[in-house]
Amino acid sequence: MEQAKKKKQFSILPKNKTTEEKVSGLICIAPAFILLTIFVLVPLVMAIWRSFYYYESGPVDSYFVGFENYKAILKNEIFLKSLGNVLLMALCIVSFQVIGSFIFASILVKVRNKFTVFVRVIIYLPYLFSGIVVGCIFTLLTTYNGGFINGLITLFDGEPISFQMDKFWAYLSIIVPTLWVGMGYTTLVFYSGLINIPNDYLEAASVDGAGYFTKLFSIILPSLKNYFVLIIVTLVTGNLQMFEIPMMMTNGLPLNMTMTPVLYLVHLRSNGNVSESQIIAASILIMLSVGAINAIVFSLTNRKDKDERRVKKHG
Amino acid sequence: MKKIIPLLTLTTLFALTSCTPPSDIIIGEEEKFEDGATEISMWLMDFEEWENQINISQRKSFNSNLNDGIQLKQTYIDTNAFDDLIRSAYASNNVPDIYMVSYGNLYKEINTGRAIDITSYFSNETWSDLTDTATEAVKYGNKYYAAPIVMEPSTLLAYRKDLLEQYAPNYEIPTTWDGLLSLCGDVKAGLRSAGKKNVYPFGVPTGVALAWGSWGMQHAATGGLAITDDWSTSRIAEPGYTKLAEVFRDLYGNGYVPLSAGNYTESSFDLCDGKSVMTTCGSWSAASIINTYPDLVDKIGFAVMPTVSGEQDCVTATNGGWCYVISSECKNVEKAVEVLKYLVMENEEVPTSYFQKAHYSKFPTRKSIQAILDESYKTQDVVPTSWIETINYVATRAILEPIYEWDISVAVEGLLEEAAMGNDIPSAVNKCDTAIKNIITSRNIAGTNPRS
Repeated sequence: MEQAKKKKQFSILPKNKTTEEKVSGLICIAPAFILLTIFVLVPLVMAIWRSFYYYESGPVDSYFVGFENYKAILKNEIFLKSLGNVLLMALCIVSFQVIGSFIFASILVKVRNKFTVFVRVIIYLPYLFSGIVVGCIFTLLTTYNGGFINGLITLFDGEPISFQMDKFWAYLSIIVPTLWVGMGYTTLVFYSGLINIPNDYLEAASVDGAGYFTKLFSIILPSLKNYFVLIIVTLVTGNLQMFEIPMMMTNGLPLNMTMTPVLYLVHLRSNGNVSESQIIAASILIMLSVGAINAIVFSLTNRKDKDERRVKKHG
Repeated sequence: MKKIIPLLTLTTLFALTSCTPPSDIIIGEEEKFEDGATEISMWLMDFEEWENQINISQRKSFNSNLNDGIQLKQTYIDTNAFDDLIRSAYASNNVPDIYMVSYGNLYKEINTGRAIDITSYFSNETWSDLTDTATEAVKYGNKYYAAPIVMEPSTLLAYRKDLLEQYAPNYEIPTTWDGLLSLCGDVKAGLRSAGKKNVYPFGVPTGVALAWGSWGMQHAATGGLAITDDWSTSRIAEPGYTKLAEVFRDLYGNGYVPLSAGNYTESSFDLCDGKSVMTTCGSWSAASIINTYPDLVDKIGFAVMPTVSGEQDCVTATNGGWCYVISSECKNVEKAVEVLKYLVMENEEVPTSYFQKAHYSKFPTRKSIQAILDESYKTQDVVPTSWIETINYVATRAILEPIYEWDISVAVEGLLEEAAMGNDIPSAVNKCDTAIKNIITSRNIAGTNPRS
């Protein structure tokens, strides 16, 4: 009985390693762990703690308010609307970016010559720009009176487009720059995944008479599953926290339809009468939303893994 | 490798220059330093270059006295980052002794204990020298919490005389909204017949700027703002708001204004660049025009914003502006007070010079300074007298910016945007009314107006 209990005892250190190996392992992870603790874990715990208090920096006393900060922010219509907006935009951006990058990477793999290297560099370049710079570039293109696009339209006697006051164009003016920035990186990730698929598999499938779509769904996509998970999780996390591009392009217009949660918190912090603890509570809600969506993505992919393992185990 | 090294150097330089922390700007003559003096730190907003230079010259003039035991140190901070940095400064116990606050944000600084009561540090004569609006802006209860620097009316009508003459000859400056719409129609017809593209008859604020830039228009249309003075009831259902929404619908629907305007604080630049023939703008635009487009001064006029009835002797703008507060962390309050006395509260030369160098585009907060300026503007020939008289006329009738929940102003912005987009106005009014009522109840703000 005691032996069984001992077996169940939890240990973070692997049992099949020597003491020396365990110590050297701990020394290796110590710097990262210390830095994470100082700059991530401690601030996170402090933020969660403060979200249950009325808190303002300065001499005013803070006091416990329970879930009041969360209740207040969840009653805020604009904040809730901004969460909906960002989910919609993230859905569009993630879908377009994942599918588009995959198609583009597939083309690059097929056409492997000097031109491909040039294209890879060109498409990766926007990823090096900050959101503010990208916003500036696209603002020059989309400004209503004097922007490049509307300049061209009016040159041909067309009606200028309002990229701020029209719902469709406002969304587009955020989605397009975001895709422009991110496509290069995701394409290169898919490209590296595609060139790592052993050619033997594809050749064997061809010999067996498999067409492109059979190879795509039976070999290529399953081989890239982990790449897809990485890209989707990264994109969902990044897009749910969008700030710079929406701020530069529309600043929430029209009618808060392009307002994102982070942008709204910045507006609220600059102009609002809400306490800092409410803004902290809202930030934690955003973090929880991002975490929940990522958990759904992981659980969906893990379920497939488990199913596959079960099928293998039981034939 | 030959290419990589210069590239890396450039990248490093770029990264370093774009990450420079807020710092002291040193311009002009050399600064004087007093040995052993107490340093009083002051954080200011990084405004336009000309205004920063005025503030720097004030600092140098203060520091030229080597016997007062005080050395003033100014730090200029980007306006967008200012509030965040102040909060961070309090959280990290690195707070300046004096810092700038807008009148709209002052109550929060008082409520959180960050701005201290400075009533007893100044004489009764000093406080009674403040104008009524300035007193109302910095006095809560029976205590004064800030030294008011300046008042700036946020809504005026600016117009290009030459363009109006060209596209709508025999024009008259409108005093009513209907008159404005009619003039916009004439200008548009003139622009069309002249084959002018990308020029609009009028310009109004959009987005966040509409939330605060429309306060004056709201008051002129309804005799009040979005909620009652005791903050208990929404006023959106009043007919004036529907009328204002209809004006926005007509301005946008008829193509009189660009569907997306630029930055409201720089709306006068569209006028100067010939992109608009008329525009709403704040009084600060007068100084911007003189400093940036001096050749256009004679071609530009300022007028009171049109109202529904045509009455001009009423509130058509809100007075915004800035004041200095002494932080609760200040260890040398007496010396910080000396700085405020010199810069704003008791000295006459320094504030007078400030308003003169600002080309009378701002309204003083002290009666004594106002009296001096009332005389001095007649003897100068840089700023058209009509501009100064219009700014003074509007400023003396303007009310202070409201300090109620920001989301209430955002809700009104939503109403005007819905109208601008051609949506149904009665349902937009209902939507806005419901949103404001929800804010009043969910945030329990009824009866909490500290100014009432």
